Amino acid sequence: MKSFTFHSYKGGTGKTFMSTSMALLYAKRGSKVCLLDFDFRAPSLNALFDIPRPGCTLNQLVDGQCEVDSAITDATKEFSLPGKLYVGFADSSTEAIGEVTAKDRKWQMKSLRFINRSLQTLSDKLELDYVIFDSSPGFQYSSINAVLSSDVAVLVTTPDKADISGTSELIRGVYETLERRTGIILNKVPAGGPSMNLDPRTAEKFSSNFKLPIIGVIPCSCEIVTQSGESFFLLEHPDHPIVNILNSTADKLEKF
Amino acid sequence: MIALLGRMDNSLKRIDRRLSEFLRKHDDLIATLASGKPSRVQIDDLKDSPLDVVTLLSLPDHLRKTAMVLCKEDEAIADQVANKTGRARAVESGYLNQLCTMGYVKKKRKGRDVYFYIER
Repeated sequence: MKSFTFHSYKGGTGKTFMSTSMALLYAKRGSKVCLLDFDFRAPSLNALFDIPRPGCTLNQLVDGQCEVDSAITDATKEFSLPGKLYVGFADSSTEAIGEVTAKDRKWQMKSLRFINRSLQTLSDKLELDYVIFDSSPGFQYSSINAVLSSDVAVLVTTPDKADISGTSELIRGVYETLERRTGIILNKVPAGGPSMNLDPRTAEKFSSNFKLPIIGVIPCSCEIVTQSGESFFLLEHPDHPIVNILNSTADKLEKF
Repeated sequence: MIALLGRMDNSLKRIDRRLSEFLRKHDDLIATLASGKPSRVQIDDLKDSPLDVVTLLSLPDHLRKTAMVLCKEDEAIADQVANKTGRARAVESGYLNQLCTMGYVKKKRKGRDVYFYIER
């Protein structure tokens, strides 16, 4: 089993889009995948997946109140996927978000143990191929805990100047220090024409900001933005040029 | 006869407990001496410090590597940590004892082995 954490310096970079897209693509290819909403400050998967909820939330899981098998639900049938897709949801109530924010360092340390145990269970019991964490942006405990527990960290960044500079600092201060295997996905990169062709010089210009390997360069698309939250873009538009790019990104991530 | 065996069993358990306590103190003393004799105040200040990600990031590289192995395991002996880090057992033993002195890690003896763990 391989685990990935999608993380970023700033919010709105497309972590949730990328993590759900990768989870769906792998399940479409026949793999067993589990997607976990670790953005406890602003959960998103609740709004995206209109499926029955599991017995407990991921908030309860990281608090040691339940086991991982009761915190995930099987979403395979909803999307008629050849593989398996399990989803775990964070509690999006204001009370729950406030509670997570107030947790102390000792609690965070305990929660790291529960995350590691859960990964072990997912590997042993469900024999998963991939676990994907969709984390909170910036230096949040839950995100760094997920990064620390995962095999690979994927930093999603945009061409925004502040995002690039913050991401570089995050790499220096956290990723290099923790010696995590890390790749970059450049998202919302300006592209021309309906075929979403990326100018190699534009892609190179942004890639050169980072010393880490670039897993994918995703063009900016208004279609994705307007459809965001309504449905899953890659399932609705399987032949769209962006879906081809997402597929090759999934290939690279698989081998990363 | 049964009563006598019961008394003997209790005595042996008492001896075992005292011996374990003695060995624990003995190990602590060695670690304290090896780390440059920090004062009682310093040790008490550091007692039960949480080994969270922020602390991990602030540790020197050599200790962080050791601590990160323990973050993933419930408990481990120096040999097991050395297998994960690729460093010598004696080196890991020294680092683990240093983390103990700093209050981030605890240890307990099981037979001949000393197990290191993070109290959560």
